[in-house]
Amino acid sequence: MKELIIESLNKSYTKTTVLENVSLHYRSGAINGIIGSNGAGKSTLLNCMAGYIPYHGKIDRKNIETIGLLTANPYIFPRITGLEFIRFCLSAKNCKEDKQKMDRLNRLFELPLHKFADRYSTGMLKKLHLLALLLQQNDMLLLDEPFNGLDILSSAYLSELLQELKKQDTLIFISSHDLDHLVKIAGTLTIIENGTTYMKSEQLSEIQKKIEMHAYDKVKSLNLSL
Amino acid sequence: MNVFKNKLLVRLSLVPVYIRRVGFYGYSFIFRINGNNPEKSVSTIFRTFYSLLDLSAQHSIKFRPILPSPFFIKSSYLWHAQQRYLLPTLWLLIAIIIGIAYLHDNYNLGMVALAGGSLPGFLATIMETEEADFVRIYISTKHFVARTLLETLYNTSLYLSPLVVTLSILFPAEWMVTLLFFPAILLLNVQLLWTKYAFYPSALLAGVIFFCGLLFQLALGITLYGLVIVPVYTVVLYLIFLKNIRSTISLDKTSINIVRRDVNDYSEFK
Repeated sequence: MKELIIESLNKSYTKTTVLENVSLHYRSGAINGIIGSNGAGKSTLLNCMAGYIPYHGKIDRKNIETIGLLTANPYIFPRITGLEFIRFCLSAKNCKEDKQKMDRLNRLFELPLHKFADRYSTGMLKKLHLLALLLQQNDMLLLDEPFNGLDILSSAYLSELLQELKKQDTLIFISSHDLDHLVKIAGTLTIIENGTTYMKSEQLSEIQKKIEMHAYDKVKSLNLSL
Repeated sequence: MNVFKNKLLVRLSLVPVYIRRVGFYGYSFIFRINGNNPEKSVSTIFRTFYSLLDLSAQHSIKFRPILPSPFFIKSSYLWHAQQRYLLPTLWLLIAIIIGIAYLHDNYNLGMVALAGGSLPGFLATIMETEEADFVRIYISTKHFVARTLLETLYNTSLYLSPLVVTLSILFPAEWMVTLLFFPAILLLNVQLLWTKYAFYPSALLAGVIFFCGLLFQLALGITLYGLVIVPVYTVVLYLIFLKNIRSTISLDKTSINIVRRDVNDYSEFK
């Protein structure tokens, strides 16, 4: 069982407080969705979870040794092929190259791995990073907007793959703006609002209803005649 | 051996004649189609040249073949990335100049080509900047240190070995100086690697420190102090590198003043 325990997490950028006194507890066996408005602090929370940025508070990673992070805008070196990038990632994580597994996964994503990755589109670049992450067997996966830029089929494949990874005891976090998609695949949902409030709940349908009601009331109250 | 050397020298000396001949026939052809008007002919040449340049700029024609890299470890992305054309080109040029140095029996030319050609290549390769995301892919600091050191030593050795061995065979009297060049470049590349990551992410600072450190070591290397200062400098550099890379990759950046709070005490969604 892998666990991530966040206690009194505070994160500020100069004078702007992004996360304030956040305390959360996650266990493996479920996909954890993170949702919030633009600039609410989703990416910051993921980076704190990974330990890539300094923060105040305590984050306890139980039985977690390897972490894979997919950033919202994945960066790639110029003049490096997709295959070379995957090989570099596997070597950096001390993983052996499983060519069969790579080929099987690439049958889903259909990436031209022998071409320069700087010629890839945004969606292809995201798929390449995802492919590298899925081959690494990380204990914890942090995916920032993984469905952005992916075509419908690839999104569906990724959802299925994440469900498989969940069964293998991987702790998975997904930040997204797509609530419908998250509700379908996530077991828990963390909401970051106004940078300071947060919530974690197992009752996703209720949250979805609340948000839909909130949106309905807001639009009605403005009395827009479109 | 001498017959081959003489034949090669004769062929090389004929190259300018061939170039002149091709140029002459080419110009004669353009001259003829422009009604034997020299001004028109020159303007035609320039017009063609500029329109080709313009075409290339407009359509951004780029010739980017994916060269296999037999020299390098497959995972060493720095060696495959931006300089993947520069390194093979430099290697070929060094090899050609070593050949010319042998034909003219000029060892210094070969050494200058080896040092002056390989150093800019290594500088451009190792000092390439990358985002922190790339560094953080590594599983641990220990793995990063071991992996980057291995890649640098292995790739440098593979790149330089054929050139150093060739130069040693062609100039057997100078074999000791040639072979000494090999560990010197290895040490320099390791220092370059550690300087880059010691001052990461500032490539400018790393570059300045590297050149200052190099001059400092060279100045003291002339005297006996060099025997002490070079290892001391390398160890100090390694410690700074280790500290900086640990803070970049490390998972635990927990700061001070932790306020204890019940884990299950979550605030409610408004």
